[in-house]
Amino acid sequence: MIVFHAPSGDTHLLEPATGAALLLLREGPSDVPAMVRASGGGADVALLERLLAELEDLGVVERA
Amino acid sequence: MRVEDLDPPAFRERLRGEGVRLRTGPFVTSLRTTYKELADAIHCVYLDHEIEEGGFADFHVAIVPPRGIRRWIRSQALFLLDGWPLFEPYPGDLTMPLFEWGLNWCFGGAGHEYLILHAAVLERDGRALLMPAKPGVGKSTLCAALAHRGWRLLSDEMALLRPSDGMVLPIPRPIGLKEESIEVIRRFVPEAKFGPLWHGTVKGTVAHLRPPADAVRRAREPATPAWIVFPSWRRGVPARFAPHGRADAFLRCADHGLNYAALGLRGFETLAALVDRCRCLEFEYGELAEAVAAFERLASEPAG
Repeated sequence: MIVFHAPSGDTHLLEPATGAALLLLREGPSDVPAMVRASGGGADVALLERLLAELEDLGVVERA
Repeated sequence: MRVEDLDPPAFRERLRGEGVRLRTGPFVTSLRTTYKELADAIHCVYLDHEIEEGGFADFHVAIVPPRGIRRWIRSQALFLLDGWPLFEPYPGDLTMPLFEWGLNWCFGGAGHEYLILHAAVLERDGRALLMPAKPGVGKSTLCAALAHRGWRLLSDEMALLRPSDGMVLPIPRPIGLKEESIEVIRRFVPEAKFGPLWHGTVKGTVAHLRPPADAVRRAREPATPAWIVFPSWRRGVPARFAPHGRADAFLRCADHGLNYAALGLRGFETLAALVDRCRCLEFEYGELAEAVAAFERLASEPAG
């Protein structure tokens, strides 16, 4: 998935799992347990936490 | 009025005096020069291009010798935009390459109403083929061959994408060929008309191929993007297409975007729409005739 981050003007290439996490967050603020539930319970918690940390580093998401 | 309506002496005289307003696609360049060899080369390879009489010019360009001793000894030439030198002085015997590269700089640096990609663009039956590529992979050679084998040349150098509807606009100009590509095209397209050879440029010997007259006369007809093809030439390999992932195609196109970053979200959306509507392919070839045949098969596939 390709995303454009308007505040920085950067374009990012995301792996599918990261893209899926980002799409969930586009619907509104969430947390890891809720995102795991939204994925049907199949998402790996540790992986999801790592992906969110990477997105936070990129400035694409922020911690509430 | 077209360049061909002036004979070379009259064209030279116009360039020395009031200048010529040369239309290339959506851009008009007001050009003046005192160099006879440049005037003659432009007359030769821009023969079918329109000359605007008066009106607005997007760029005011002059190619002139500098003041002082460099006018005569190891002569140099300056590319002036709005009266200011754009680059360091260039060798005075390479004025045509300076003109062509300077125009690329002008269009790429100021044409921000379009998303501009460094790519060759050709059209067949209303469908545009975009070939983004870095120098040296055989893009211009392939483009020159296709432009003389049933495809309409929109540009050898830049794809102009209109953000409002995603159409690609023609900007047909001479095709710059270098080194052995010049002879390859002379053999492949015997009827092709070249300007003079320019030796000793940073790219070696270069020559400019006059674009087909039909492509220049249809320069106001945009085309619908249909294919993005990343070409590469390798000696001895058979011509073949292979699918190319859309995400990577997007990034490679962005990498070839002359003003992608400057356009921000508009550039992203325009490029995303382009990649979404196009079939994305890699293309490898070793023989030009095989390559042309492969593109003929591609063009015969139904749209969609």
